[in-house]
Amino acid sequence: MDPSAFAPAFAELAQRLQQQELLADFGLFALRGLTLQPVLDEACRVASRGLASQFAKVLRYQPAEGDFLVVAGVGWRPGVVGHARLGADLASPAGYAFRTGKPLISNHLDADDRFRTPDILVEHNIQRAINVLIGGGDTPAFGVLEVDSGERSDFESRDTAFLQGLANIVAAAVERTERQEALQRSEAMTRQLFESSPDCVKVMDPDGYLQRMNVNGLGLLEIDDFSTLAGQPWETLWPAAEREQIRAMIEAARAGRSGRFEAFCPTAKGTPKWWDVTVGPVMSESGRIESLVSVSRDITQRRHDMAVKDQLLEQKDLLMQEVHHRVRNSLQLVRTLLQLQVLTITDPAAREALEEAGQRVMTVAAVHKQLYVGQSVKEVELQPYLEGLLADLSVSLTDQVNGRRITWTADAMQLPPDCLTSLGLIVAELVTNALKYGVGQVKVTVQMADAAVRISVEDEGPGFPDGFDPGRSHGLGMRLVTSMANGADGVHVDRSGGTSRIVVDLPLP
Amino acid sequence: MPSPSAPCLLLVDDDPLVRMVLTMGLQDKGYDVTEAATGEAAMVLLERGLQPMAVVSDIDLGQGCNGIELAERLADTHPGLRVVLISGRLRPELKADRNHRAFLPKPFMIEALVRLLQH
Repeated sequence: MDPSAFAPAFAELAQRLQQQELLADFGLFALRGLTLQPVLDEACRVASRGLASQFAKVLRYQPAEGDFLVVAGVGWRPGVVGHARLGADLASPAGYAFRTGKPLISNHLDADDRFRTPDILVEHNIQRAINVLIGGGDTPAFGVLEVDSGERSDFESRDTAFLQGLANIVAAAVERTERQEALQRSEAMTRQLFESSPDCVKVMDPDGYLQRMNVNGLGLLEIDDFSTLAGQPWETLWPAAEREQIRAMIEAARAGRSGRFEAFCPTAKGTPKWWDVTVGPVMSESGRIESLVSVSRDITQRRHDMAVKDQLLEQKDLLMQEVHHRVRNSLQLVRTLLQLQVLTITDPAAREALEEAGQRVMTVAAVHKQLYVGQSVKEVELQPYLEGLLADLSVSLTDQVNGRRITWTADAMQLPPDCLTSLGLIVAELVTNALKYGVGQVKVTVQMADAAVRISVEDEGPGFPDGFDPGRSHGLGMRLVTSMANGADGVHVDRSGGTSRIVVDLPLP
Repeated sequence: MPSPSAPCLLLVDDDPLVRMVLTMGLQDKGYDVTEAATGEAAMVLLERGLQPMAVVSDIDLGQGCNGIELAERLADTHPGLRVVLISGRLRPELKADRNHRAFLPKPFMIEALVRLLQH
């Protein structure tokens, strides 16, 4: 057989072997590449050489515009690479490969009714084109790798395999580059957060040795040179009294737990400061602790403000106590002066009036005392108020009490101070009357009744005289009670039980 | 005015007006009252030989020791000397008549104080 008959096969074989070598070399080149553009440029050179064609280009899909931009190429006139744009629709050969994901060979572009021939191809007398997709699958495709020719023989399906292999290496390089860029953006953001935090942020190794501290942290701690602390245990920054807690926090973080505490630690220059500190682990995807991070917030001012507030509250309490003290001293003066005055008066009616006046000073004092025992200035619990008031009245009315019991029941309720003042005066007045004019045990009841507080006081006497209407009494005491009850209708005698019982309805505000 | 054989009281209160009216009221009840403005002044009077039947002392005496401290000092120096404490402050925790130490909140009737002294 004529050996020359094998020449085409040998040539074919040689070309395929060359393509394999080109792919192998290009793969190594792409692995070493740090940026993408050199990989795209080399892909075009390799494609051109592997397919013995003058022209090759990488078309990158532009999602915003919906077309391709020529981002790399060989053989084209200046101004094409980086600038020329081609359609990405199905009527464009590259668009067809991009949209369908299938390699496309068109050996007679000017006669191929499927496609329009892009101007750039017409300009360069391109007759044939072969297009393969770069990327795709789970991620959006990068674009198309295209080889074009005006003079070589037709592209064949065997050429597709070489070009697709080349495009796949480019796709891998694109993915790696995008991952690197994402990582760089993440690292840049982390760095930004680290440095922009107003707190002291420290990064330590898993054993608690200092690795980094942000600039604001150095400022807060008044550290001029971090290099003197790098590699030192974090606990060495703290006073001896706090180190055990620091070690415990580190141990907890090493076990995967975050912790928080407040502690005192002066700066490197001795400025006293208080800190709110959090410590936590930074873990890798596999769950291994890669480092520890601590954030310390300067709370010195807050602690100072709280101490000032506590001091002011204490001063306020002392001031209030002093006010009450002086009020009661003044009431003592009035009380004693009235008593002394009584001694100088012989007229029995006048003496009785002055003694009543003196007694009213005592009841006002009892009402005042109970109101200011509690902490609230808005509402006061009725039950403890009533209990204290009746205890004080028992002391001040010892002569009248004379062994008699004063008992009470009251609904649980809170009332404003003004209301309790009136209630206290009413109770004091009625209990005093019951002790003076009544018999036996005195019982006080306070209940909620519609829009009023119902106060009743009864003793074991035979009851009030027929015709006695407390609402129309001329005595000062009952006039006061009637006035506080908003009129005579608010005061009445209950004769149903056969005891002396008087009922007053005190309207609620 | 009290008789020469009138029982003697030592009244300790830093408020001169309160001291004055209480003295007048107690004198009207037949007591001979010696006044002191501070706990320290009261101690000096006692060390110089004053022998009251009881001491009536406000709890708040301004600077120096307060009435409770005075009572505790007297428990050592003058055991058996009755001390009645009075006060315009709210002292709900004080209980009457333990260790000879009764308490009256201000304002009180002179009769109430006399009853305590006579108890």
